Amino acid sequence: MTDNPVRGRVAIVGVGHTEQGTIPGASPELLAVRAIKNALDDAGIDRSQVDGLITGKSVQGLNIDVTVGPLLGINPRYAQSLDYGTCNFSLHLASQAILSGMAETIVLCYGANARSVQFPFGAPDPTMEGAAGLMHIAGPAAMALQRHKALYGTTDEQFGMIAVSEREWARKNPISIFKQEMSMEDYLAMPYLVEPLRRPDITMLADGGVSLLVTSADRVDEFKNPPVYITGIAEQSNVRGEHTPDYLMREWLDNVASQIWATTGLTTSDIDALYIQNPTAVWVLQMLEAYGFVPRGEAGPWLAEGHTRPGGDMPLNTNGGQLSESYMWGWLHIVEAVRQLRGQAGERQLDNPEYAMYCSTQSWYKGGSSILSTHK
Amino acid sequence: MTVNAEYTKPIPNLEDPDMKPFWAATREHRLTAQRCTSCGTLRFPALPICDTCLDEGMEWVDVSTTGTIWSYVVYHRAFHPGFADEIPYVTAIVENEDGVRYTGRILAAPETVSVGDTVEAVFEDATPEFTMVAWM
Repeated sequence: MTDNPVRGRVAIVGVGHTEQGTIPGASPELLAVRAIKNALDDAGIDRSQVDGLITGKSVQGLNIDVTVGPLLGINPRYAQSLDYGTCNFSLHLASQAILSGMAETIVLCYGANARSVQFPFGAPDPTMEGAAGLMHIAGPAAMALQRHKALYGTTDEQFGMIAVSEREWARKNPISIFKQEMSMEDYLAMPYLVEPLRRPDITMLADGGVSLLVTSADRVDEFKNPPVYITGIAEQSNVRGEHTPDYLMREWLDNVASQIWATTGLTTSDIDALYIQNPTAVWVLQMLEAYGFVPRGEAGPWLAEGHTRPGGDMPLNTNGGQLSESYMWGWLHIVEAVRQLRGQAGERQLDNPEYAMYCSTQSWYKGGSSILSTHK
Repeated sequence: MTVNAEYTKPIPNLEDPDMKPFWAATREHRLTAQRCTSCGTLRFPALPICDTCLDEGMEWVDVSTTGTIWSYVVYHRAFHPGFADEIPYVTAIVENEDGVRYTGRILAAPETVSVGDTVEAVFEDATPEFTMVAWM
């Protein structure tokens, strides 16, 4: 096992979020601060005990540290904003800041009101792609899926299990935006949106805020809920973007996987709950293979076997994911991982999970992963 | 194809400093890519420096107008109103015989398109300034 300076030294001690859906009249920053209040309550501390703030920009480009700060009413010694979401990267930055002594207790937040302001999420770019009608994240994602189908024979029914499985989980989650029952027959009967993707394979715009409270493992006794420790973190960039050959297949994510398995000494069979950020279900398909939960090209048949569903042996996105719970750029995945590890996931609760894993990406540009655990 | 005065679909930034020569060539119905004058690597979309050798010398060269479909999608919804009368439409990434990839419309019925199909570039004069590269 390679050196792992993170394991057991940083902990998540608070989670909070707002309601999800349409919340008219609230700015991304206000929603972020509402979520922070809930995270502070969850941790049982006051904001005066916070000495770090890391905000993740909203999908709309709002919610940076200097616009959240005035509403939060504190000047923590450490403040940063990340230009990209998913919370993994924010959690990694917080871990680095804590381990380097820059801060001891950091609040992380995300807020967006993209739904109520009808943010033009799918608008075309003034490029060759836009002129050719390729737009909305569903376009490039569908392109990657079509290629996967051609290379490996993945079928609609196999792929559809991602959305069907997440819906089954979402129905057990009170905050889910999409809760209506959806069988495989229902799924397959739905028309294509951007073929081979159907509507349930794609996330929704949502208003809401999410927050995490992260601290040094030395301080966990100061908080009222049991700590969830960080076991390992890893990232791999693809900052060359579309200039990397076959960038849509995102096989460079293999490098995040090899790092996190090497530094933690864990394997896929150690993971009790798996979380994969998913603006489209294609991200799940790709990351299941990149992280080795199934060999490359074989995710389709594996999904069809039902491993990811309630009662399955590899529960995946037990919150309902971004396909059914809420968009939130993936931030709610970590909230759910923490709740599962604490044993606070209600009807969705797994049987004493010890390790949860969260895998996410900033589209073509970055991949990150974190493993969380009940113990150091 | 005739010039359509009421062209309502998105138009690329034809003045983009890196891509301007590409769009100028499409007006002459030529398909081009950048070639590094130091290491010879072809690149597209355009960059102001060779990402293989970091030399800034480059020229635009004509490339093969024959390619294969790397992958494709079928839009059943128009996310932009300009496409409302064209759904379902096919958009693909095509790799030409020189290994350069282009994103473009496939001018064929969706059910006839497959990954790996051989296609030829066609040039559609969309507006007096903009010619689009499509494939069929």
